[in-house]
Amino acid sequence: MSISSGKTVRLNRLFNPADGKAVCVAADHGWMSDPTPNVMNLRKILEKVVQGNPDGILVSFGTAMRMTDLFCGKGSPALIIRADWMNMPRLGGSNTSNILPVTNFKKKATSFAKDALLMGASAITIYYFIGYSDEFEALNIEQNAFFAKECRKIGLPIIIEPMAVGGAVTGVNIAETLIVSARIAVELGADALKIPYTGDIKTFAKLVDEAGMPVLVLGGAKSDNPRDALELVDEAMQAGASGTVFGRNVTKASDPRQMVADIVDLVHRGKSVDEIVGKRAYEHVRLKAIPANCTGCQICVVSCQAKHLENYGNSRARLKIKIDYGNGEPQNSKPVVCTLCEKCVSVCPTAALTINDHGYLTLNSELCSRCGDCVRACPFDVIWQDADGFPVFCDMCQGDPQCVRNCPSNALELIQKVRI
Amino acid sequence: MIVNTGKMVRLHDLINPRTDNCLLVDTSVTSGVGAVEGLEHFHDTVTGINEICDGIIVNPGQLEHHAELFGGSRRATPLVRLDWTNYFRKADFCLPAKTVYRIMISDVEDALQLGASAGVVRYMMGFDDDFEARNIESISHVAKKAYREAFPILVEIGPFGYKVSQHNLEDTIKLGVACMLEIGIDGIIIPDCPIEIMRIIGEWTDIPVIIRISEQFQPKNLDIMLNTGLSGMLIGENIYNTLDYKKFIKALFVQMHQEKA
Repeated sequence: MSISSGKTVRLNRLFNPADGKAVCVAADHGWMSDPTPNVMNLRKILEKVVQGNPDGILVSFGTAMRMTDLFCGKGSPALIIRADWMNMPRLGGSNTSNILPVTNFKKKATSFAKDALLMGASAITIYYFIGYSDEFEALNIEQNAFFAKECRKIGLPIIIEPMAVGGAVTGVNIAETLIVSARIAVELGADALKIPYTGDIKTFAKLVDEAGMPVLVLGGAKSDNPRDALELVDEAMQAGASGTVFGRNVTKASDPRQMVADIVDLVHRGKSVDEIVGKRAYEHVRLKAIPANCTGCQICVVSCQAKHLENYGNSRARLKIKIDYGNGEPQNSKPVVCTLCEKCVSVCPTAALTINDHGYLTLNSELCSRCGDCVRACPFDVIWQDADGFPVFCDMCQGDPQCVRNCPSNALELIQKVRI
Repeated sequence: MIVNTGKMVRLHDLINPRTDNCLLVDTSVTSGVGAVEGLEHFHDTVTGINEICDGIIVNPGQLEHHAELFGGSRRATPLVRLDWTNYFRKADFCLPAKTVYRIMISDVEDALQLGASAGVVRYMMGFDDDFEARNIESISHVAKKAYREAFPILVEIGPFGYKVSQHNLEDTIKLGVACMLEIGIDGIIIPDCPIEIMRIIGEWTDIPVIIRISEQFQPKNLDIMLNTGLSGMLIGENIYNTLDYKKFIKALFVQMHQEKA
């Protein structure tokens, strides 16, 4: 029997009632660390995140206020509001990489739960820091208890985020500290936990078991490759987790939509990492033009534009048909396509343009300075800049190139790409 | 879809909806350092400028006593300064500040009751960690209260502290903007900075950004500055000791809202 229908209804918005699991994305870093590109391009990133169908997105009050549209409608993610602020990412006297480094760890409650409720939130999230100092932990306990009490009163779920940090936390005791802190958070009134992975399935299973409440594993700093992040999710789910709250691994991903979709596949559909990573059928291939077969029909060009812009034409395609005119009459034609020569990659001054794990060109728009060097470097003239200045290039239709698929005369084909 | 009608209506009391720009004037420094030259007689000074700017930042006491100067379709709207600081008590002040303080002197309800269209608070950056944390906490709660009351809040980024140097000034401004966007305020006032920084901030933010112009400001640069995506300008207290400040403000006002001219 549910005691608070408010909490039940809102938790059901967050955790899929069909399987009791949730895939959430954390995008609340903007006021706790430096204004990195993922902070400055947050709307664009979150628009992509939403396309991956997460169950919830954790944001600050300000982001919720300015990007309300992302959370409207039944299919949209549940809104989770970060109700406190801390300066930990800027901590460390010698940490000069920060714009304004801090030396004292500070945490402040910045919202009341009723503010989040007023915003239409389905839950709030607050930190519980353990291991820094006894006094600091006591302050955290006090704040968490206050929030828990207020949330009980108004029927708003509270997600507590235990974080084991500080001099008292070592590699030896971190797993045990996380297990203990998870239980303490539940004792205070947490309806769910957002917590780091303990490092192995056995200890995380103990954490989940002793917590007795839904546990969402967080991702932490961005992994070097998506597979590492997905394997962490996989292990946490095997240990009994109820889902994820991944932040930088999603918001800093080259394709945030795909990253969310992959996590959704893991959490809700029970797919394995191998199934997900291997599901892209065409790895390390490239396009090859066979001019002898080309009739100049332009179907490849139209297909390209239809695929990417959802309209028909040939002015904005990512390949072209070059027609030779001899004696004023068209003599022969040939498709001009991206050969993945990587000249654009090599001239990119900000390393925004890269070849991803699957062998396709990919753009990190956060890094892109929109200088146009890649456009000028392309020997085939098949890269152009969109209205915002970002380069538009062949992305191999993510493994299923429509030009190849639709060419009626087999003038285009996929071949194995050999990287030297 | 505009959800918060109250905020939108009040915000457009100061931002001209036809040009999406605003020219604001600040008179509030007097709460920290007393009457500055040219602002000895508040009533007289404001009478001279209240039809040639969009909004005037005033302290709550002055608004209460001189409310008749504000309101109406042609006159400037009042913005209430909600906080106080002794930061501006420099070495040449009769009692220089030894420790910098910032405290709240008004709140959202008070400002609404006074008839203000917005409240203005400072985010003073670069001081010690406690100071910053308290500042963040204070602005956060003002923002929440303002959301409930549909009252716009503008935050002024003040990179004043000992941690800020020429080396990190521009990044500090950006950090301040990032923090304030997340807190949930309705407009940001930034200090004068290079055009390139204005452009980055203008393109990045989706709320009005107003620049507090410095003494080096050249009116010929107005259009360039506004083309960076900024929403307007704030003229500070240094203006009042110049002989032709009314002429200066009027010229900017006309230039900014050209169709009015």
